[in-house]
Amino acid sequence: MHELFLTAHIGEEDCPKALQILQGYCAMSPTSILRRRLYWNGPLLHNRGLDPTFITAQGQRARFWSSLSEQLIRQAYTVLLLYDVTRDQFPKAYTPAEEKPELDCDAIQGTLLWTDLPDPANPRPVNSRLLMTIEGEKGLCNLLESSSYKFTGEVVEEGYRFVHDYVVIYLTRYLDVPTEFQEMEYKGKPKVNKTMPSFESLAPFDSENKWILTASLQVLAASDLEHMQKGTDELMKIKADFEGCFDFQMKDRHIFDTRVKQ
Amino acid sequence: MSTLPTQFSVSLRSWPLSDGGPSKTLPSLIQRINSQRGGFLDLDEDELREEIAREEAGAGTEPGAGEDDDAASLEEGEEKLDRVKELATARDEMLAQIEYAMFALDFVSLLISKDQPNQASLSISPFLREHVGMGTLGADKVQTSKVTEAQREDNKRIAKGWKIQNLNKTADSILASATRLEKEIELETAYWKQVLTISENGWAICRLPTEKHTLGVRFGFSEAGPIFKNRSLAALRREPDGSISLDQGLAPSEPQSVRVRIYSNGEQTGCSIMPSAITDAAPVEARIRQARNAIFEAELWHELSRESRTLQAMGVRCKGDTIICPISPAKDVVLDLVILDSYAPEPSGNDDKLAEGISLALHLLQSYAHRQNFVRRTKPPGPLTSFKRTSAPYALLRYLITRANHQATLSRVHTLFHGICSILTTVSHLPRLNCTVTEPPSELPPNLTATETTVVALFEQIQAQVTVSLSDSCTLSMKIRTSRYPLSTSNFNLSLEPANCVLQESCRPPGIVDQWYKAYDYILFVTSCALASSFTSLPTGNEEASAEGNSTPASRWEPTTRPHIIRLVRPNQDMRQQLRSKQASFSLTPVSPPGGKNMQSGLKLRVNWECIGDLSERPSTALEHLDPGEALAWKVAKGEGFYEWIIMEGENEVVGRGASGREGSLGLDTPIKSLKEVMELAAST
Repeated sequence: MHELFLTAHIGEEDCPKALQILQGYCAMSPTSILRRRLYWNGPLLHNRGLDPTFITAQGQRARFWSSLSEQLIRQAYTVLLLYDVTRDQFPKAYTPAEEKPELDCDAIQGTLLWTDLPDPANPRPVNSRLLMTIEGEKGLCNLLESSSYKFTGEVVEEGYRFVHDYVVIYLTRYLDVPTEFQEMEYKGKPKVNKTMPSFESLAPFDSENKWILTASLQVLAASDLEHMQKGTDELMKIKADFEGCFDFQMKDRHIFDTRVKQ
Repeated sequence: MSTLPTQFSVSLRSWPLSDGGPSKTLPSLIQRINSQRGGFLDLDEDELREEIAREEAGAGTEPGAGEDDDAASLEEGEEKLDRVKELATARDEMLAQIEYAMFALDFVSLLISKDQPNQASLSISPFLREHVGMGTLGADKVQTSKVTEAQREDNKRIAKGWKIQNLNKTADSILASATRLEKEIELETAYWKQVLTISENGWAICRLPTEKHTLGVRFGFSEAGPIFKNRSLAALRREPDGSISLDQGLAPSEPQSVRVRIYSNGEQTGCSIMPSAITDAAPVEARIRQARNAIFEAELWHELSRESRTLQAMGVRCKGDTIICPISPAKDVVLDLVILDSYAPEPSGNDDKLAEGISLALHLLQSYAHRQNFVRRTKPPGPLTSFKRTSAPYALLRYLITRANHQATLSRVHTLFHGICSILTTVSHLPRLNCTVTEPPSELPPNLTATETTVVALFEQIQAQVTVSLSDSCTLSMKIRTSRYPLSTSNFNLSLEPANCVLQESCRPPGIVDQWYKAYDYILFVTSCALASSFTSLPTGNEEASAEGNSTPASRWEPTTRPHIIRLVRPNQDMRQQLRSKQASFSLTPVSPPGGKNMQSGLKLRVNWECIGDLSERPSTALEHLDPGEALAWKVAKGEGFYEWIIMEGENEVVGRGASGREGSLGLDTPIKSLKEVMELAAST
């Protein structure tokens, strides 16, 4: 799958107004999204992709896993595991540890998301990148651990999703889990938290607490030039519609680099 | 020119080039004489000779004459140079004057070119002729004014009067404008007040895409089909009195509604309630609401028409401007779109409530279809494709037919089990057969609104569960599920519980069956088998002991390989007697009313008993075919007989009749026997 997207930034104070504008534009109430984003780094050495025994056990979905594994073998990438959470699963401040709701990521269904480095500059005025998602899977943390991936940390993603024809307009911000709440296997090696800290203790990832507005759509293959052009046109129309309101831009592709560096 | 003496005459002739003295030509000499001596009139030869002599003498007597000559020639040279310069300056001056003269000539030529073009063309410069053109300037004689001072004064007074008159007119005009403006403000205020009220009541106000300066109200539904969505905007125009009129453009604006009528066996027996059209004087909001209802009804009718074309297999027909949808063998729903302005109310009928219910259901289903459209539209889209999204017809009549089929199935189930329970109660069968019909909890998707939950529960997940306790240890369970596709029919999942039930082997349930008659047959069969098995007992050790102790052991019924047939066993019988053993068979079958043609409108439980000539089992034969109506005239052999209990549909009373070899005919006049009595009779005869 190929993703075409444009990005804009919204100040915190403009967020309510932006939501109202998008609500009118898309003729829908936003779908509220709250989820954990777990970051896993692929091994720089002896990178053999995903566990082959797991892939063969997947039956009809094996080809998706197999094609993802092929991509991950090319290069060590940071892959993401996404788990939907609700506000109730964030305990209140000063809740005793034993009363905090436990979140076992392997026991619930999650989404594995991998995105490639966006394509180099081209005549298209939008960012485009290869993207693969596998949804509704359990035991993803186990899978990545068995494939020599290292958990590096997590953030909480708070967002509002709108849909306008084929374009998804997503207003989001990231919230950092405080360091003192991060569970560690040993010093320097974090592990996936079993419980979440209180929502109020989460700190915005961006120091100015800006929100990111992304307009994106997907095209089956980059080689399908007709649809790539059509997708680009759709995004440019969105950009033109919001001219003077949101400044959608094609960003430097290295901002979205997911490759693991030495 | 100021440097030159005024009397000095200038020759424009070129300066003589040779240094050999003045020219000797006659014209030049005449010219020189004219200029130096003022013509020939005052010239005298003698005077000239004297003058020459004087000059020569004066030149010969002066001392240092040679040096003086040199100086004089030098001065003369300088004087000559100054003169050249002066002459050049004078020439330039002259040329400038000529240029002015030429301009003047051009001007005059252009001026007369209007009246005398031929003459002007002789003197006008080609440049002017080309760039300005002939006749572009003219002059005329203006007559001097003949207005007298008195007239001038008069004119002044007239002007003053006009001015005053116009000022008065202007003031009046301003006053009129102010009044009009004031009125306009009042009208505009009234208009905006109404617009604000409309907006505050939840209607979306926006500018018309085609007329940016006009306000419009969006009265339709955002998730309606494209045709109706585009028609759901009306202009809010201001009337001369400040009120608002609703302008729907070319779209039909008359109020309309879908009418539901019920026809039973060809006769109209019910009609839905139709709203009445509002008057022109109604408030604007009422008109907006009516426009909304009209467009909703128009879309409903459009969708019903679309769907009816896909439901031919279910008996839905389009006839003229009506849609006919059968909901039972005797009842049809007839739908049509009526214009409310010219609608006359129908007389009330027995099925008015049914018609109204169906009408409400159709409206609810259309709203539900809109919700579904919204859910589809706001779901994260897939990748971009060339495939154009098409909208399938809404499921409206299909839901209705499905629900009607389910109701009919439940009705059949109730009738069947009511009959079985009535018969078994009459025959005093223990344990009492217990039948419950429940609706299993729906597996509803999360995040549904209350309305959606109602619609899903009513139409999406149509199921019921029937539980019948056949005996203390055996329960028949039947799950009924009616699905919309492909043909809105019910399927029946039959099972016996618990898994080690005694009937599990002999009456293995068929699992899921898609025809009612299959489930019907199985239920009757398994009930017959359960009744038969309730009289059987297994041999005990007491029988042999009783035989040794010469006491009389009780005879008993034992099961056979056919679960609805049981065989009588008498422990102390010798071989000959055993060869004359008995078997009894139980059967539950549908019966037709007298004169009915294959109509299963009743239920019959029949017990046959007969002697068997050997130990091998055989099915019942002749007694099975005995018509109940002929039972009184029928004579049975000794040791054989039958008894049957019959209940007809819609009746609560069970009738019993039979015949036995010992008691003869058991007619309707005899008290109804219980099953236990019949079995004792069967065992004894």
